[in-house]
Amino acid sequence: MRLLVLATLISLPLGAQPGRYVKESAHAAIGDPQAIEEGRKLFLQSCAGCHGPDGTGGRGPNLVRRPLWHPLSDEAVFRIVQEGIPGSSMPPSGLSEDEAWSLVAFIHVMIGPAAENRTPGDASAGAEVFWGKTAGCSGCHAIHGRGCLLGPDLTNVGDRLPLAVIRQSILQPSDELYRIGSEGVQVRLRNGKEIGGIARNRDSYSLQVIDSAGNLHLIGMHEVAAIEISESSPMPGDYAQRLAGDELENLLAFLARQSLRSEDVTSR
Amino acid sequence: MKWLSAALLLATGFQAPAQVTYEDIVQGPGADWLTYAGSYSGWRHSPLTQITPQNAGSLTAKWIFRVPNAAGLEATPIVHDGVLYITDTNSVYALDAGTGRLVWSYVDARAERKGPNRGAAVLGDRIYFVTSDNYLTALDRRSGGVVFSKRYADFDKGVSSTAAPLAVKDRVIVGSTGGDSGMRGYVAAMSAETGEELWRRYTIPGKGEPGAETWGEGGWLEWGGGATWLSGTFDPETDTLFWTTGNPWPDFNTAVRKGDNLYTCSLLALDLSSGDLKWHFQFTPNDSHDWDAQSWPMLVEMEWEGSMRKVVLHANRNGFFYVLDRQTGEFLRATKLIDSVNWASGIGNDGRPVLVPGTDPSIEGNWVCPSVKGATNWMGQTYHPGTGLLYVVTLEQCGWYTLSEQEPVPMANFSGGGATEAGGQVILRAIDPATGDRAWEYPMTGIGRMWSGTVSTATGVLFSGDDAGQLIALDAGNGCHLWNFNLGEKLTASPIVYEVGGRQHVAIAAATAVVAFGLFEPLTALEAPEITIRK
Repeated sequence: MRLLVLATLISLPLGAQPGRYVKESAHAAIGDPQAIEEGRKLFLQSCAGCHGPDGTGGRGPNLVRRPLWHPLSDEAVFRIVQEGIPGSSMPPSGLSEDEAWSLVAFIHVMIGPAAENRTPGDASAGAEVFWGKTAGCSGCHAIHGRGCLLGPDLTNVGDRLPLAVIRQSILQPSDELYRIGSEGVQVRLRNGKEIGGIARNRDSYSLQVIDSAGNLHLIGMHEVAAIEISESSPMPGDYAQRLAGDELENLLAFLARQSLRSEDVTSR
Repeated sequence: MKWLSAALLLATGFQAPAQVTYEDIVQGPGADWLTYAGSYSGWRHSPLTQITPQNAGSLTAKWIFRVPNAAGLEATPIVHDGVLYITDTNSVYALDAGTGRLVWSYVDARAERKGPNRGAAVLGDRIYFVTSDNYLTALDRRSGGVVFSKRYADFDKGVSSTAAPLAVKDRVIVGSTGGDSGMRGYVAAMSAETGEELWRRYTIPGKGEPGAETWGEGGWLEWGGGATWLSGTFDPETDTLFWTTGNPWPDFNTAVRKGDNLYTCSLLALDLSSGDLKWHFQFTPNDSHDWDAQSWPMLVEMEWEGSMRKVVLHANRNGFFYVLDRQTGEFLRATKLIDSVNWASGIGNDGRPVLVPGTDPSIEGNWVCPSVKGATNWMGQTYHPGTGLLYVVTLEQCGWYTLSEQEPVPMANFSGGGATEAGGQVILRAIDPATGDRAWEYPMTGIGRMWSGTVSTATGVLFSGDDAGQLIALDAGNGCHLWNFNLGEKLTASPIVYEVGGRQHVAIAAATAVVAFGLFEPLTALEAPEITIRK
């Protein structure tokens, strides 16, 4: 049997929600640019050593992905900053109350949607990376109906995902982020026809595949002779090498700006 | 084994795209159900013939799709090319119409409002729907990818969105919701390509405009209501949109809006290209009972006084069934839709109600029929070209209407009074439009609470939701029961008919799930395919 799988697809988690708090705090520091900047400095000094400079973890846990599953309130983060977690290697910070709230304000932004983050890259240069041939992003992804329908749509990615998750999706596409809805599949039907693409859904009785030309194939399993499913993301894993210089940061800046609600067109 | 990509991309890239054209929608339903009411004429009638009065008794559930977080679905699904699209608050779900499996979903988590959503439109490769906070969103029908999402109204002016858009030619028509709390209604046309606004027709005139004089001294023009919260119908021969308008605000207090209150509780005939008002007909001038005109304007050609005439059939919430000339809006006839009407003794030759004194809301309260829910409402109605009958879910119910003399406060759920409802009975009625007489009726015996309507087939099967959570099938010719299925939930949406894989289906959104039915056939045992999973 010869079954084939796509190898040029980007994968982002379809079902993931942006890192939202359970309940947004009314504290004045939350959303205050000065407090956030102060918090950013404090984070780099006091937290980045264990939690990583972008919060994605190291010796300490990943703060960015954690809220995808177990969101914490601003108050809970504040309490942990102040008191630490007894019995673990997370110590009390020793920060003043104002400093601790500045730190919480920064973490709030860091784990929130990328669109709300300050990004160092050049978004217009990032657009060239996205639409250009070297990275080839638009060979699988679409923004505002332009591009390919195979990979997850990125029109609103800046609103859906934290910056660090987008970064991780680009650099380690098969790492934790990959799930049903973005599997590469190759199907051989009993009539000999072959269909390849992304399984948008599947169970033991049917599967729903979109191919690179944008055709949907709604397939009953009684029609199927064989299926090959890839457990790793169809997205290439070599973007750390493929993107040179500032290209990754520029691409991130471009993607972070892909936010539907920030481009409110008409107001009446 | 060699892992390839390019070869496979080529192998599957040759299929022609199955885009939906304007002509497809004009043609009306077949295997697909392309627009909210099935056809531009609003008939909710399918030409499919597999399900008949003889075999309807063997209908069985084929699949169920639980819509995440849904609590009271109001949407009519649309179907194209084997995919069924259903909407809920700020969300769209694309399902394999043969299996009910999810193909994609779109949830606008940032929407600043939540409210019911009544459905989507399809044109080209795009699915159009509106968010509660007034964004027209275009999604690729195959991937759910966003093509555009554009705001067309501020909800701080009291306007939200609930209606299914209507896609016509190069444009998408949207409405406005919020008339019970003060707002200024409109119908608007957006470019299907870009979402840019092409025209907007307000249903309440501006100061100094014709019709403003029908609001009395210092009328509340900016907050006068006239919402357009149901989709409309369209006549391709004359490029005319037919759109109904809601109640004037405040709902129950007419003292602050003396006059007819144009163009509330009306039917508007609008030019598709410009939005210009061709004609209007007001069913309930100076409405004081919250009797929005939201019910379907059905476009029919029928014999009238010896010759064929293009007419609009309209069963109104105020208790009367109207026939209007489609070209001019001329009033032709109105007959009682329900037996219990007591606020008007009839409709005069001028099309205005002949009022019965003592039936306006009062401080002490007046007992008036229909109730505030109306003799019918926005639930789907059906016109069957074979039987020539109009099928309407009606409600025989009365209520106490009371008046508050407080100064109106916009956007504060202020209605200038109140209304109760007591008891009542839902009766599905078949009306002969030629006479206004009833051909038959099907009284329901449930709790009298539902917003579900009908769909019919060429073979003479009429499907309807009932008031006890059942999907029922009746013989369209005589109203006899053929089949029923307990969906177990209050029904607030209407069924559709489509075909996939050569098999006719009937689908309805219950409160929390979409359920599809088809004729019973035994499954053949599945021979499992060879499955390989690659790391």
